[in-house]
Amino acid sequence: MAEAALTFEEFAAARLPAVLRFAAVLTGDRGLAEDVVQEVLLRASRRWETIAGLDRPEAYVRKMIVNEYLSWRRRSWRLVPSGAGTEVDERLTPDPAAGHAEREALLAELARLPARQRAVLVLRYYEGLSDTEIADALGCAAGTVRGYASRALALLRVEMAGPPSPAQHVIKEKS
Amino acid sequence: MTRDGNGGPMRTEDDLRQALASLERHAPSADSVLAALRGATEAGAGPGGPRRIRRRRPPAAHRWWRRPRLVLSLAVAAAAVGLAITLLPGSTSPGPGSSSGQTGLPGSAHSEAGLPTAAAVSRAMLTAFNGVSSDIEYATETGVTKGVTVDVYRDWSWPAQPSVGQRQVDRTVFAERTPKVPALTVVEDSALAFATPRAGASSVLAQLTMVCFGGTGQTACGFGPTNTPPGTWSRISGRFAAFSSDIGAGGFLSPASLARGIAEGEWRVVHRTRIEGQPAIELSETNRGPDHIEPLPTLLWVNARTHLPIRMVNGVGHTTVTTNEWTYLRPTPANLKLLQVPIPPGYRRYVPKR
Repeated sequence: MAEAALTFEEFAAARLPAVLRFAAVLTGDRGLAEDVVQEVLLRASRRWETIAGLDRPEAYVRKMIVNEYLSWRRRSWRLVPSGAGTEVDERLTPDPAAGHAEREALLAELARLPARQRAVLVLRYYEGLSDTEIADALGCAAGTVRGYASRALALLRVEMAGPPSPAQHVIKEKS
Repeated sequence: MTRDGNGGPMRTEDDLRQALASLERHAPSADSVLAALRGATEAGAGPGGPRRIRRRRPPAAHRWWRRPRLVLSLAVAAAAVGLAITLLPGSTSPGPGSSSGQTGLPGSAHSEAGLPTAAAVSRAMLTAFNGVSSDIEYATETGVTKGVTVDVYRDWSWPAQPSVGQRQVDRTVFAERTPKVPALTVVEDSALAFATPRAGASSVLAQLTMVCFGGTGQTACGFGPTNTPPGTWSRISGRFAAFSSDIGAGGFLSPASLARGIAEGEWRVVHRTRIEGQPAIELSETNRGPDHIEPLPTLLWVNARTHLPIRMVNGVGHTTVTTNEWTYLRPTPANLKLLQVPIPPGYRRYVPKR
């Protein structure tokens, strides 16, 4: 069934887990992810007929989520410590498999990136979008996206293997 | 893993992919979000605005990148700030006895136009912070969207620059305006008390006091995993994300951040001016350095005599303009009372389920 045929309730029921995972990766913070998704879906529900008529409603909703994340203002930075940058929830215990010091260090450095640089990395390396698609999502030029990415990768000391392969441009579909 | 020129580890793109994927573990429960959404739509979220759990974070600024940009003058933004503050209860003054200590500008570095260099101003700010380290930092943040003040945070942090292990208190009063409640209305009043953690700590054991006001349609006041219903107050101890004053070790104007800004040319001096009757140096943020504030431009005014920050305006030319203002208050008994959250008469205590 095409996404365009889905009602908002059907869309939310089917795609919400994936949308929430994306928001969690984007924000690195469960509370913020929940707030951002809640705000976005409430707005989306009010004009779902328009959004449902788009080719890829889910991509549009994700774009809304990115914009919502980027629009959270500076005061929220006060909640972002200079460490891991994630809101601590006692129900979340460190994943032993992911608990390596190096990964934690990388996550801490990711949390310190400016929001726009972080968004570019998430869209490129988690969502697998091309720079052109990222530019469309962020409303800027592809060259600007490359600038953000190269700056962020340099800060994180990530070596680029080479030009992204076409396979990396396929949007991941997760249920 | 290879090493960079400084001997540090070089990561691969796969390391980054795996790290990002590991953050999926923070995904919220779909059931709780769906329930909130259903509640919101059943409550008629349309013209009245959404009903939601309001976390201790700013609401959506509704900034859309492709919309035509509304240019707001600084004067309009500043006037809006003044209006917003006077609309809040008990907000006529941040507190008596605000600091007015003076610091000299170290060095004689001046730009060609006779202005001090940004580096000299930043160094003077570092010195000035030492003079107010035991004061109360009173900071406000005001969001103005399309010329309308949509929210105001008022925040008292004491001490302004705590040392590790020192007791720290941070109180925030948040007010917002919604389509349903067009008057700027206080939504929540909360305070966090904790021992200042070492630099880089991501969380602290703290006591939270939260008063959640009704009236703007929110279903609860959220803080971490705790949601306090409107019309109630709560006091809980637990582990929360670390907090910092703006000039504290974790703040965006922290000494470390300023030092980095000096090294990387994060600010440039624009000119001398007057703000609220104070002689001021206006600085503009460049896009250098890893910590610049989005979206540019950001303007910062520093008192030309005390070298303490006065005001910062972020996002001029964007739909939402954010203004921060600072005052440093002596820790007198009267001012220390500002750190306490008054419990409104008739409010019952809410005890969250463990």
